[in-house]
Amino acid sequence: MNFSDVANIFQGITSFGHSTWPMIFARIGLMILGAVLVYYGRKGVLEPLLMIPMGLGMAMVNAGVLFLDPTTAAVISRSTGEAVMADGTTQGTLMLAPFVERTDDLMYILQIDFLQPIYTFAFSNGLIACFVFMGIGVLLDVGFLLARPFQSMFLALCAELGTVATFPIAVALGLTYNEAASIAMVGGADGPMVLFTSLKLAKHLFVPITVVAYLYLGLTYGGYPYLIRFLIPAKLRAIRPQARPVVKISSGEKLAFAFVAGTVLCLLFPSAAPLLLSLFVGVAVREAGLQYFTNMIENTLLYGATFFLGLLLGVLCEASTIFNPKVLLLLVLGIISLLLSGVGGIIGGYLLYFFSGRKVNPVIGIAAVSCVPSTAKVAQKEVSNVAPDVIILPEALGANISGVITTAILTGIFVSLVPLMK
Amino acid sequence: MFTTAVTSAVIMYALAGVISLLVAGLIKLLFVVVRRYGGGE
Repeated sequence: MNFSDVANIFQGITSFGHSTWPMIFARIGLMILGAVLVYYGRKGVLEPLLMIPMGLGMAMVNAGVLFLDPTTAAVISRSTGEAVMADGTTQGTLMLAPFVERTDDLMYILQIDFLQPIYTFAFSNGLIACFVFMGIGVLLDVGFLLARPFQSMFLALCAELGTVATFPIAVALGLTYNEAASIAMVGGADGPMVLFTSLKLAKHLFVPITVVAYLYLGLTYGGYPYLIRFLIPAKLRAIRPQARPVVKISSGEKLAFAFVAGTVLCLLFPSAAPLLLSLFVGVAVREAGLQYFTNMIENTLLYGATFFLGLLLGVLCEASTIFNPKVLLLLVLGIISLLLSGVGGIIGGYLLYFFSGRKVNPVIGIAAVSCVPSTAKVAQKEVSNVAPDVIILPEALGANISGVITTAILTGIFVSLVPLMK
Repeated sequence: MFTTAVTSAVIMYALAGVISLLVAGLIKLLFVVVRRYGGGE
């Protein structure tokens, strides 16, 4: 036994010696970023349900790098195209190999990497995104949308400004149409939709795009209040919405809406049908009063899917996977997209304010950015800060739910039309 | 490529607008149908 044999026990450390400097910095940087996510998740600044498993996954996958045996190294090398080292080994982890696709190689890796079965059978086909969407469906009360359908859908459309405007901006900055559409979806402020779109259109970039999306979505709760205060004066934020007769919506009407809207949208956009079915089946289960299913989707599926989504996103942030020159561009485009969507929502709020004879509070516009229910809560909070007795939450939730539907519509349009562009 | 992207973005936004209006119209129509024939509140 000599020193190198002893050092071989600590491969997480010795692997640094076989890496390039940029890769060493990337690994250390991602470990620190993981710690930051856990810290801010614990503090409640970022969404803890997602950020704590994600931060841990991110830090530990970059720490737990080892030299894979020659057989495993050959399998990885075949998929990534990277050469193995002189002794036949290569650096990797025992957690996940996202780029392995050949059937034989995949069967081999499924028996080695502990998260590979969940990644292959639930993540890369969008199942986890659909589970999250079912959970969102169960949580949504579509009655708020049904009470004011045109107002809510108009606001939601305005709040898609970022999704649409970022697409040509991304193309101008050098991304392909498919890549541009995937990062532009961040403006829809809906994590599962971004995951779904990037898996369909730009699979090679879906890890950085989804990570960027979830990081920024966590920040909307902290960033949008400043946008509201900057663009809407306190006097307008304090406007009391005009009292209107309460529209009572029965659960039968909500169920009928879920059935008809879901079927029509699937007819229009078959490529987004998995997401649409997941959303509307959640709404239908809730409105049909199927309590056992509601509990199962709300507690087991939604939280289970969110946990594994966070953990897998973290583990996918291995330096060698995420190390891509386009990541910086994606970071910039993601923030542009969310910012433009927020501005678009507020413009929609202003338009409604003027068209209604100054009777609508323009703050409800920002709630149309479909980050359910964060943006609706942000809107109400900002109004309450200047006028504690003014309630805009019902209208804000209507716009919020419409935001989910318009984002699903735009996902369908992007996934169907963008691949046809030459 | 940029011009195509801008044109496509405008077309896709317009399409999304039409479909959103269609969904809103569908909701209104549903109310009428369900309340008349479905025994809704």
